[in-house]
Amino acid sequence: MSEPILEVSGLTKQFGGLRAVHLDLTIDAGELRCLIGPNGAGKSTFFRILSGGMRPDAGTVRFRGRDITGWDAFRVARLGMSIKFQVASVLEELSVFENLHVAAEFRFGNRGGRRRAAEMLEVIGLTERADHPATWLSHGEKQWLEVGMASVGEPTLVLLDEPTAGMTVEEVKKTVRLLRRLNETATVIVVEHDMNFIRMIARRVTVMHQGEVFAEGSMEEIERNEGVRDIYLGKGAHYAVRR
Amino acid sequence: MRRGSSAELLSALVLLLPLLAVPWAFKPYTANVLAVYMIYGLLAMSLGLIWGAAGIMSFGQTAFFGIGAYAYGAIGLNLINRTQQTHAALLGGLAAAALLAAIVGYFMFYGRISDVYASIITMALTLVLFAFAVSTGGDEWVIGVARLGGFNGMFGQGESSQNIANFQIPPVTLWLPGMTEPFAFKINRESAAGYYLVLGVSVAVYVLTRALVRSRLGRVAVAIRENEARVASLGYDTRFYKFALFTIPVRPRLRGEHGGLRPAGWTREPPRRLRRRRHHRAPHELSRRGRSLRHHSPRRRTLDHLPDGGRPAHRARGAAARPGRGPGGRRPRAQGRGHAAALPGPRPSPPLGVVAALARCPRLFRPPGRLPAG
Repeated sequence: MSEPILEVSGLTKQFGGLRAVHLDLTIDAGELRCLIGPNGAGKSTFFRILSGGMRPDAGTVRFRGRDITGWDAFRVARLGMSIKFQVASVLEELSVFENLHVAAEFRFGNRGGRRRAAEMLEVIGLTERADHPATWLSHGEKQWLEVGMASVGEPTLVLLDEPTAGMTVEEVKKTVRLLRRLNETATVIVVEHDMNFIRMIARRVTVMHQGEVFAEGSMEEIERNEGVRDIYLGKGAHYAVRR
Repeated sequence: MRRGSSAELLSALVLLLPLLAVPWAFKPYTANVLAVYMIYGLLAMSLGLIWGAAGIMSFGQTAFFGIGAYAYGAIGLNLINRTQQTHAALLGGLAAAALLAAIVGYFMFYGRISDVYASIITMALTLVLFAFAVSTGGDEWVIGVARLGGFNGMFGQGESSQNIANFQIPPVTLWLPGMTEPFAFKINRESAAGYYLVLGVSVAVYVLTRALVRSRLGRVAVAIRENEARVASLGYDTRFYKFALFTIPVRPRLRGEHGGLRPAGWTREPPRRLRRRRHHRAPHELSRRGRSLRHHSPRRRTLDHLPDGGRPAHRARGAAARPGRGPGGRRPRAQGRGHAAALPGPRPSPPLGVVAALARCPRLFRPPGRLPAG
């Protein structure tokens, strides 16, 4: 464990009467943190605020020691945070190689970007598809492409929002390998619903419920926690957060 | 050089040859008309860049075109007696158009105005300028000696509307050291220099536009068109790229210059240019020549389109007489880019642009390659 790379404190986001997010969270450098929770817990909203797509109503986010609250998406990205969105968002009409090239070009320039893109193409296993338009890829392949785009710029922190959504078991295994490799050089936060996947990669797990951190610990601790089971099964009324 | 581009350069050259011969084969009037078409082709190319590549549907291109033309006329008319040259007018036209685009572009893109509203703003800009331009018919609307002329357009000097016959908007002149008098690019019975000037500039702009689309700026702009949020999350300041792609085709501010060339061949410079009809015409023309700038990708073989310069404006006329120009496959238009489909009128030209269509002809005779599964 090392110093924290991400410190979230008092982060609040309200949508009308609904308080979507209200959290304190700390991530250490080099971690692979899994963020789970039932639908509507505020995980994706949290990611959007982190990566700059949305402004919080209150609270602060410190990344690498700097206060990035309210920063634009591109500024946060330049600081070393990259995100893979929940909805597959690759550049549809460009080829697979070009997608990676555009992603890499920012940090590495034209030639360097080409080299990095070619390397990443190997890592994510899409070399035969290099010249195909991204729109021809299967859903799982698009996810990998997006993970590739998020990692090709050598980020410090990678946010992955449901990277295995819609994947087959084999594809999930490949994604696990991909993420482990990614974690060698970057801190990773993964939001996921697939418990098998979580079990394969998790070291520390944070459970969110109604916008707040409900529980935190290793996978075994979380699985033993009855409260967690309850909120997933909809018995969360017992644990409704007091406003 | 990539595989597709040499075929396209070749086809572009093939198309260029007949255009070179036009002044010899036809009377000056035809050359004049073609020159005008090529100038509008430049306008369409700029739209292809900003709409086809960057995905911003701008109705303002004709406004910039017109402002450049007016600026050229105003500066030219005022200075021609003193300097016998049109450099200042050319530069003034360029600068005026670029400045207007920069100001409008800055407020739109750095204000994070989303695409639909940006389009509406550009249309409003054009309408306002048009409304203003046609209201300037009175004698009091002058810049120096250049009358704005209202609906008829800028066509000469004179203190009152009774005295306009004795002057015209100056044609582009070139006076290099060593020449006894300036050389004027006109199109008439004695000289076709004006036509070649327009052709030359069209070719130059075509080449530059191709280069721009292949550059990093072009790549990022196309990426922004695809998915702006994704591009922003990669570190690019999308406001800047949109702004740049908006202002640079005002670099077919060479369009401003052409606004200058346009009156050069003619005596009047009608504000009709500013009119909305031209706007609808411009995307229409673009849809005829195909959204050819949509694909910049140097590696894509199957979906290659590239700008083909002013030629299709001409070919659009000729295509009806010469059917079967080339296969030009039709791409399915994604939602939001169906604007062209919504515009009325026949489409005689291949949708991908004449150059690309011609370049693809040889493929007809080759056995079809194995399409990748997908």
